[in-house]
Amino acid sequence: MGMLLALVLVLAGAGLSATPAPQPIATPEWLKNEPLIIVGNWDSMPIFRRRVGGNTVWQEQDYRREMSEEAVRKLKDLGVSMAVIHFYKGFGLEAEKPHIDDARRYAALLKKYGIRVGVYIGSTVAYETFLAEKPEAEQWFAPDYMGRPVFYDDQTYRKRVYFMHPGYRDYMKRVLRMAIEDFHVDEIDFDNTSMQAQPPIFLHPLAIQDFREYLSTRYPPGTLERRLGFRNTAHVLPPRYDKPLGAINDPLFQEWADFRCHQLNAYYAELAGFIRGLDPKVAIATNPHSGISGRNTVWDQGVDYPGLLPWMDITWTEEGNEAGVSADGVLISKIRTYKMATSLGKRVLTYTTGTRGGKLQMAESMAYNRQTLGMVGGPLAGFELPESERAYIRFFRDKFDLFRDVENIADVAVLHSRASMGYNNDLPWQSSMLVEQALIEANVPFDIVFDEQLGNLSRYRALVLPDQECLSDAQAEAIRRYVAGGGGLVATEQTALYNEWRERRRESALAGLFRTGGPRVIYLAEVKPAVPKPVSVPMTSQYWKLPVNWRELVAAVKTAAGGDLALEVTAPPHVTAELLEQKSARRLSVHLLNYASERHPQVENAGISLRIPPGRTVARVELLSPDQDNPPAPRHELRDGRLEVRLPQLKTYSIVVVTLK
Amino acid sequence: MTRAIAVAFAALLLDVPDLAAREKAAWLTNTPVVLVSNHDSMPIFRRRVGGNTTYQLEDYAREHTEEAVRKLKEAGVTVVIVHFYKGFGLEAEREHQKKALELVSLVRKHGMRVGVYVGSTIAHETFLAEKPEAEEWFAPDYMGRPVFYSEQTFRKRVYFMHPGYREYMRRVMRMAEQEFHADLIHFDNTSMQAEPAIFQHPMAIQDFREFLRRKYSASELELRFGFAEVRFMLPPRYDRPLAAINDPLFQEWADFRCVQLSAYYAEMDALLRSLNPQVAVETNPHSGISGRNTIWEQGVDYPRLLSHMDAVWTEEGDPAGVTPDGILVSKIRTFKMAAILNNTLFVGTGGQGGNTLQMAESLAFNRQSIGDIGGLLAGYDLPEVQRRYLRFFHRNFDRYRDVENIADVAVLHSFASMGYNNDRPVVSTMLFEQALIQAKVPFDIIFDDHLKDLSRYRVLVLADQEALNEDKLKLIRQYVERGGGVVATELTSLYNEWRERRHDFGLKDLLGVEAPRYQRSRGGEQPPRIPAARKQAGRGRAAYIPEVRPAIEKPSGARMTSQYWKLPLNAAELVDTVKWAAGGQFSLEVAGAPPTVVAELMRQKTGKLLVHLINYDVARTPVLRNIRLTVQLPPAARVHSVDLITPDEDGAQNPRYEVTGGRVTFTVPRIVTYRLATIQLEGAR
Repeated sequence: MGMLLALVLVLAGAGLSATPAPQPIATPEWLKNEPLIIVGNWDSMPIFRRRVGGNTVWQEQDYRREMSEEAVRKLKDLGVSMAVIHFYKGFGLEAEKPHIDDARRYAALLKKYGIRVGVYIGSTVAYETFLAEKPEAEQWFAPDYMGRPVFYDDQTYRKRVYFMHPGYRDYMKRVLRMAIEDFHVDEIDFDNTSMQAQPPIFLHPLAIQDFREYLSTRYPPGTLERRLGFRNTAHVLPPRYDKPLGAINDPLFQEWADFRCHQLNAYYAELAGFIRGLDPKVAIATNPHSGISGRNTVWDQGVDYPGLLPWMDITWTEEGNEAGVSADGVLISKIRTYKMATSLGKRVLTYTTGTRGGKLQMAESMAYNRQTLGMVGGPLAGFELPESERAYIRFFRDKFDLFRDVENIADVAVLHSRASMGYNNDLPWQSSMLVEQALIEANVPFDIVFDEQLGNLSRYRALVLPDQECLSDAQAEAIRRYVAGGGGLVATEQTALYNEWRERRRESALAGLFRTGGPRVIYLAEVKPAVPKPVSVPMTSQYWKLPVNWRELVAAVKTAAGGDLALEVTAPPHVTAELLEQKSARRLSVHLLNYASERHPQVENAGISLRIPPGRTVARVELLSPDQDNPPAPRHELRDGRLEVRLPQLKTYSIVVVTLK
Repeated sequence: MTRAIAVAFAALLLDVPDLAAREKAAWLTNTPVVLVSNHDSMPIFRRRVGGNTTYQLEDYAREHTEEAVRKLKEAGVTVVIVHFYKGFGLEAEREHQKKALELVSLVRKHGMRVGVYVGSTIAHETFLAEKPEAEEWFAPDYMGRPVFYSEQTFRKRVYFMHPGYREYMRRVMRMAEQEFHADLIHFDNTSMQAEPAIFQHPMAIQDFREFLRRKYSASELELRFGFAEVRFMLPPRYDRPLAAINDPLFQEWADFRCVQLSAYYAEMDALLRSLNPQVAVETNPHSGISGRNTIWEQGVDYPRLLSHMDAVWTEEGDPAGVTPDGILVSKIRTFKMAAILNNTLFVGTGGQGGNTLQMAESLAFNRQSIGDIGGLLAGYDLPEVQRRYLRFFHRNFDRYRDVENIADVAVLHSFASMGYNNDRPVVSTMLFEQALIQAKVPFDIIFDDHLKDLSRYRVLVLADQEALNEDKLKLIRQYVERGGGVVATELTSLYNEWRERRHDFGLKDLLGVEAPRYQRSRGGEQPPRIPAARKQAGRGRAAYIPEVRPAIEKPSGARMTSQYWKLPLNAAELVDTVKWAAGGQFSLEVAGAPPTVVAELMRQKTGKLLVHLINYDVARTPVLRNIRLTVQLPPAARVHSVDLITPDEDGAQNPRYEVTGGRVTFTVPRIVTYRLATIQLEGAR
């Protein structure tokens, strides 16, 4: 779906027809120019902590301490650039007033020390207090689903709402207005996005009406008849279905997944427009939790990243996948999520210290993210953070010039087509995740791209379609044009065998290309998993072991790319590399990470070979690392247009910086 | 909440007298209790439930004959629980009640006591014809599913605190006492009455809000929940496996369900006692102490519930024996729980599903009861080997009545620790008890209220009793200051009674160890990785053991049932530490017996010490020989004689004994399933 179509659909969205079309938002300047190192404390206020239970007896003492000047000063000393503070959890503005007042004072203190302020906005409603303040909110709540109440996680008092209810949207605008006009915040941090458009929410009576309207607005009667077999949508009901799904063939299921994505996008488009209308400099973050972690977010959560993130500056991920190598040799990372966000021009926030973090997580964020070190702890981080992690923060701040205004260089694009990935929980996911795993471990520079980018693939030497089975005729044509223009192609399995409604073609829409495309068009019959994923379960990290035929896959990609990759690395497979470019500074940087640093604290003699752009030569080669003060310059030589560099040692994270002239 | 508060709350909602001084029905202590019962044999039930035999009606008729009753008497039966009220409605069941009344006459004629069965469910198909308004008593669907009994969809379940239901049940009680003159009321299905599903009833929701308002002031509510508003609170609808239960509403709701269940039985008990002061009241919460969190799952808090009861039934399973993988399975914990709460335990021991080992267990650990030996036709079909046990029980009843066990050790089951966590507290407590059982250490299971007087014990065991309030900590400290020993494990005292984490162990001063650094974790905190510690604490002793190490890990959230009871890997360490804390000796020491033999030490005011020995592995080891017993004598007591009797073999034996240092030692030359050693004393104080 192109951006234009997205806007059309936003306009046509339920409850939004009278709203002026919001524009996808541009990143605020400050976010581009500053290192983003955050702390957060959204859950520490007593009303929440007491209600959720399982606290410490000193919890409220900590809550007070978090907001002390000493704690803020220590955050500043630590290098924190933004604090996301508690603001609105969902108990109601009246019920939360004492904590909001605390937050207001806290925000002023943070600003005094030059720390930017983000505020937390929950998406659930703690009805026990909320209803006292707003009795009509009862109408916003999602009804029972399959006979079961719809609440947040195991917190039964946090009801979930149909977020497109006009009453709820009005209330949320009141919340946002307070944040912006009263708190003068720099960032709005929306939580629980992954849960807002889950199937149970959309059994709300208003959602049912909106769905019917969506169908009749989206398709003219003749197309509706082709789509559903009939034209009258007045009696259509959303599916109530919770059995495991492999392929999703039912057209109503497909449309319902689209509709849920559409509504979520429309909601955030509306709020983004509202926020930016009040203050154009406010950055907006959302938390759809999963990232690209093997979960079918389109079906499970109504989250279609390319549709959602245009309304955001930052996306959170809580996918887990803490960087490392598992006991059975699986390299686990959030690299795909970083690449997805980068491809969509956004930043990622995730936990990079504490029990879910460490130096490697920080390194991963530095290498693959944009100007962001992630969340380094709570507001007491200034007291608690270990020296090894402080050193990483210092490194990031000191060398920030290296991290800003960067673009990655990718020879290869891996397509995540919406219909292929949204309408099938099995092979498209398995093959895509495994092909990407092979590229990660073989250090092939690649991007993750989406349907919207198919029209402009010129920066890539090769396109990879791992079982991208559902491609429209137009998409197939775009791919043919790309190949005709000199691009390489690797396709696997049932790629393009179905159209975008998952209707089976007689043969792949790209079959002709496979037959006659030449040596840089390669079709592979199978991506062979080392650990096969059971049918219908998410393709999560336990199944990411390098595929059995990974060498064949990588060789095919290299051939398709013309055999001359921008970066080649000679190192064990647990070392990954990302190649970045700073055009204005005429600088290339290769970020190298040792994912097995716990077991192999040092990698020796890793080699990199870097394609030097035509017409340029190398002025300087430096080695930088937060693990080592002033590491010696690496040995290097320029040979046949490539720079060959040898690193004496890599601990957790090193950067080879190449200045060109 | 203590029982007094529970009753106080009940009294707010109901006209319930304070039953603090409740006396056990005297006949129950004077009678060797040998039970039979026929709750489910009446045709209205059998036809409706289906799956019967073609001769079921024939049997039903036979059960009501004088011959059958006479044969029960001859077998040694003393109490017959007859069908009375199943829940089809008093009108629908009238015919069967007439039949029951005839049976009651026969039972009385032959000198046996009469109990009547009272169900807690409603067979709506007949009941509504008689009482249409009962529709309002029924629990609504829960999680989209109807709420009925087991697989019997016609038996609806009710919010038992509905005034209409209680009024109806009072009518049933009056009939039981005024027409049947019952000696015993048997309430069934107690475990299911206060399950979560029941408490979604609209009236239960109102009562819950009222409960919170009365229990806490506005400022306390704010401290508890973060706000004082309870008008919109709803009971949780939640059926996922739970490990620790941290949500304050979940905690209060569990407590509330326990309060309501106790209040209901307090009301029934008061009514029954006003109709017949000698009636015994008995209930069936099914589970006993079997590793299930009855507080959360069933709203059953035994100390509160049993304060209104004379007897309690268990249907936990756990038939006495040793499993192929070496786990000693028993109902010893449940017997001990019932005994400390002054209740008799009713349990199936004989007939087809029973055996002499189960009868022996009841003889040894129960109070004056050998259990339920079958149905009304037991007089015809009871195996001779079991009849022999019944005769033995009758013949030697003077050794079973008015007994009190001697326990050196008390193992605490604190309400908040056990009710608000399904994992470590129950794992460690059950395994610590298993170690004590198999090491034959005399112990009691105690509850919060018992902390007020621990003077009879040498050692208090706190097996991961993590959630203890300051009052309890103070009582424990006082106990140690006065010379008691305490053995604590794992996270004991790290949380308060709301399961809020303390900075350090509440008993740090006593135990001399530090808690691990706090880290919020979904999986729960781990105990510190430190060595075990022992220290002298004033006149007492305190020991800390960092872990009770299971031989078979229980999955998180699952019940700690008998498949996980294998002796913990560090059982020897646990027992050794308890012995140290006890001053180096137990009142009973057993040598030469494998860990599959258990022992229970009793005393009678008449000057007897009694040691019950049971061979739980009799199926594989039919005879054991030369087990040496050493028993602590009361101050100034002299041994008059020692004898050994058993229902397994004829004749008594008088082993040689020797007395040294106030302890008598003798050898039991042989044991098949069960043997009772009696030490007759002189001059005991």
